[in-house]
Amino acid sequence: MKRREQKGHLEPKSARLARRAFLKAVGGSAALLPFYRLLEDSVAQAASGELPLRFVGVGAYHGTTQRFYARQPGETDTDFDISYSDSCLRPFDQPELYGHSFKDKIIIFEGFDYGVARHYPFTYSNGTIAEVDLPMHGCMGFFLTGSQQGELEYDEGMSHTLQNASLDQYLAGLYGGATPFRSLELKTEANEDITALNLAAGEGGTLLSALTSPEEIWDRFFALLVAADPAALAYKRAVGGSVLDFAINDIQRLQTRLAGTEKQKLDQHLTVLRDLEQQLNADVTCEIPPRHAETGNADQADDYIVGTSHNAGIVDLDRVANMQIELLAQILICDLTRFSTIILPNFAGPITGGPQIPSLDGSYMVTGSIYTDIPVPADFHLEIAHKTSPDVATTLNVHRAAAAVQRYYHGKVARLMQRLQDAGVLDSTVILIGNEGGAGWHTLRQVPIVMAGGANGAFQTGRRIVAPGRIAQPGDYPTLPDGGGATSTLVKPTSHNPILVAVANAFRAAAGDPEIDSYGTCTLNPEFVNGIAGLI
Amino acid sequence: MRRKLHVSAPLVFVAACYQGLGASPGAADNHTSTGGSAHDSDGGSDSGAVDVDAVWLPTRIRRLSTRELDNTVEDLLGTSVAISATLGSDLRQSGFTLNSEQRVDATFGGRLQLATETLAKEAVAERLDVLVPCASDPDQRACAAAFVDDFGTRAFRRPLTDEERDGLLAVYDLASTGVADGGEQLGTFAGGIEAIIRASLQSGSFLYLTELGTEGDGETLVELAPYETAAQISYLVIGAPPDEPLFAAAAADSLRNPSEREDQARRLLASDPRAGQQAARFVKEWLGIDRLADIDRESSVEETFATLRPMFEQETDVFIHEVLANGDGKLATMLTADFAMVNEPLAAFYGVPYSGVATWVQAPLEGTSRRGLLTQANFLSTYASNAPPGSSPVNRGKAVLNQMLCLSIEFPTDPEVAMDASEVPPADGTTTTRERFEQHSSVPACAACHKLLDGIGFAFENFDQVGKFRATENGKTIDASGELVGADVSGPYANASGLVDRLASSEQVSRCFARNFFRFVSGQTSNETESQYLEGWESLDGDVRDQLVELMVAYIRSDFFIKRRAM
Repeated sequence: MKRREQKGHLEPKSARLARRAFLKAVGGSAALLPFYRLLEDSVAQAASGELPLRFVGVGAYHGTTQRFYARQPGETDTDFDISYSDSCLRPFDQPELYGHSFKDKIIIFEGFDYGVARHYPFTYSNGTIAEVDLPMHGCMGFFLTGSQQGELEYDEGMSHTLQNASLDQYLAGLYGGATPFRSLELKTEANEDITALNLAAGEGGTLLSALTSPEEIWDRFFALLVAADPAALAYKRAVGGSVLDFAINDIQRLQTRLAGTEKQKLDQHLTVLRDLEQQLNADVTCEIPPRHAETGNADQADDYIVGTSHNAGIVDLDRVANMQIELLAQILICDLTRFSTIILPNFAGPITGGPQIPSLDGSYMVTGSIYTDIPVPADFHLEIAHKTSPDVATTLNVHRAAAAVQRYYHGKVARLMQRLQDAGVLDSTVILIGNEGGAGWHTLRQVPIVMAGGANGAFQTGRRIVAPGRIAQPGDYPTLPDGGGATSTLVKPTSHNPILVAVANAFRAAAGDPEIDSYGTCTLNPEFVNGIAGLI
Repeated sequence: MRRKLHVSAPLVFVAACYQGLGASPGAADNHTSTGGSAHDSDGGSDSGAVDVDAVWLPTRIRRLSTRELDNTVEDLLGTSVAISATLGSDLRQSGFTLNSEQRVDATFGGRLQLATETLAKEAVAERLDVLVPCASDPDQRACAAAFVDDFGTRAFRRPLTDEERDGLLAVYDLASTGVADGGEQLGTFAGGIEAIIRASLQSGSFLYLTELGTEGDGETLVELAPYETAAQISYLVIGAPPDEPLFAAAAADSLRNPSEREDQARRLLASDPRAGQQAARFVKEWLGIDRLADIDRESSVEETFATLRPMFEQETDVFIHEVLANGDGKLATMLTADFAMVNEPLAAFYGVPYSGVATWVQAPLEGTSRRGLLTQANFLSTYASNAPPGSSPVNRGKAVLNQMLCLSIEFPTDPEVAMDASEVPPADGTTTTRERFEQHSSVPACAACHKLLDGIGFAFENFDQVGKFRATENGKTIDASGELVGADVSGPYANASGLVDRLASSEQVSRCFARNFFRFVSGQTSNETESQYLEGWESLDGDVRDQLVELMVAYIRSDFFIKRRAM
């Protein structure tokens, strides 16, 4: 693949060799080398083979349960079972539902924290001043940006300012110009742009709005594929082109008077206009999926409601998510874009007015569990994210419910993988699944991060990778090397940024670009952003 | 009364002595929080010199909010089609949609393209003769050129440059004369006008309000250009583009004069109904009660919440208009008004008399526990609970702490506290909400925060999840008494009415109101600039400081409004 012209692309902090920096960051101990070497070896394969072409970032909610996410007794990095009934990861090995087993096409990350999402100084009630993890809510935005919390916090902790672009946008900025659409941002609930609810961020960490309505997604991506009268199409393109030319010239005139952040606003706008020009002239032939109108369908049962709030309990969230997955698959298959994010339904609030169902632990519940394979509380969040502490022995059912919610999310990804696999494009796609939080009680520790897809062999899949500085524990949190617990906010966390660096470098290798040694921003712990550079 | 905010340069240097309200000395850094108490989010500088470059708003561009775009295209095209329905929600900053962080990203850009195509097509199909009075003239290109001048000037809020005029005419030429390969004429005059509209509405000069000053000033502190000033006044007061008198004032370069700016602002305030909508928008976004449309609650009355919701939203709009247009316009009145604005169904919902005929009228609240904004169903149902359906002392308390007292309280980060914090005893059908939360806050780790939260939230326990009055819960009499702590007006109260009386007399609340007002009008959240503004605000007469309209006028007169730090 030829490197495209890098107009207005996003570049992380540094692109210099940093093998030494990485080793220093992870402590340089022999115990850390397996992670380092595994990624080094696997990424190195990419140099000689085809490399990933597509990236999909997936956001999920409510953290997870370590009990059914971590390896089980007797299992190793490469020899493990995810097909048992309570496994969070079962959809990746459930061919009867998803056509294939994807167990060999995933990497399960264990012991990775959102180390960048820290806050200092924090004063405990006893006067202790310490650096602490941020509260879980508001942290979805840290997943693909690897950014620290910016100077300001908005919306009561539900939204932080970020300081750099998300990985999908970084890659789209570099390599997204080859397709009609540079990127696609999807969200199953149409609510406001805050870091609790957004994955994608542009340059400077500005949150990007997302499409929600399947009808709108179709109109945006597939309407241009519908055959039109050639003369009318030519006229439409000519007029549309002149309209965009005027707008582009106008932005360029204004741009000369601006600098810094203000100029950045217009850089972003300019890229959008140029992309619209490209879409106007796109000549793509591909199978067009069905258009699902929100209303007015011949069969009223086909009408659906697009949610406006993550707590509104909109009944069609699951339908919307399924339609989005189908559309996303076809968009990727048609090569309309190669970079996307999707945030799956939150289900944080109960569906009001629904019939009551028995609770797992006797607390208040209403139905809403119809989307999971075992009954779970309708208000997933209060019943799960607050209660999956490993030291609460009585909550096995809560752990099972938490796992069921995660299976719901992974099932959506497995469906996407099935579509891509059947179309022969899964092996060139990297899917990175993250979460707003980690395991346990509202933490950012042990975030359930899974990489899925073939990535053309860029990564050695079918295994678990434990974070440097952590020792895997069956059914439990990875520990410190001395066996000590690693979940307290007083214990220095690990960082997930090396995963972002590895993915970025796989794409850069495909384009013949030099590797980067870091991704993200973290002044509190600068080493957290370092990754595994110099490996391809 | 006309007073000027003291924000001239010398004051910039004395701003360092500011100490945030509600904070202990030296604790005004809003990056610091504590594990069991609220911290001041006033964020004033507490020591050291203030950077002179930091206290002025910077030269910048601000993308219009979707609401502003609605008003703007309505003025330009006479359309009733709301462009916001296509564009989606705005990025918020400190709760406000009017802010300088708005961007044109791929989703917005695609939606804008679609929306402008639809609007242009509709306008040309429905109102071509109105938009382009010369449409039937034989010299169509001359007519198009006249349209470019008129429409372009209004769209860009300033006279066009020659380059812009030529550019729009080039768009017209192509769209009006397009011929297919087979010779078929595809272009039309109407198609050309449509294309001019599309190009204008997708351009940066339309989408962004510029605050750049006159080109080539070369100064570190610049003054807004005349047409920029006109647009700033207009969008601030009515959320819409400048009208003819403002254009004329800009052309005459008279808006440098604070009194002229004040006169223009007062004229709009008195004559344009959108001024009231703009004021209501500020109040609702400040209190976070503009999002009711996105909230669902289990109704406790016969009507569904979907039925009640629009009525609740409208009540707030009508109430704010009443206080501003027919009352004294003061914050204290908004908080303690002893009347509600009701239509017949809302009167029945509130249990107050209704004396109107199919319209909104004042109804006395005497004999009820309701007073002002915080006891309106809008606020009470916005801050309520779904699981279980009911009131929420925490959400209501937190809203007042954050929005009215500018104190923030975070979900505990200490894992042990966090674990306890999530364990509120479940509703069991026998206890009151207050009893459950009192049990919860008896846990030592939870006590400090809940003393603050519940100390406010319990005041609203007489109102359920949709704001319906209730004297009892699960057969027990509601106790809505409590004690406000952590504020400058701390002390006991008997019920919601008692709490709002305390809040209405609070200097801390006034100051927080002013801080939020400044965030709204400046479109920016910046501790340094806010502190500087508040210093000037303190010098205003007491009557002005709590009066929304007068605050707006004082701001428009100020140097803050018209000067920018060159970037």
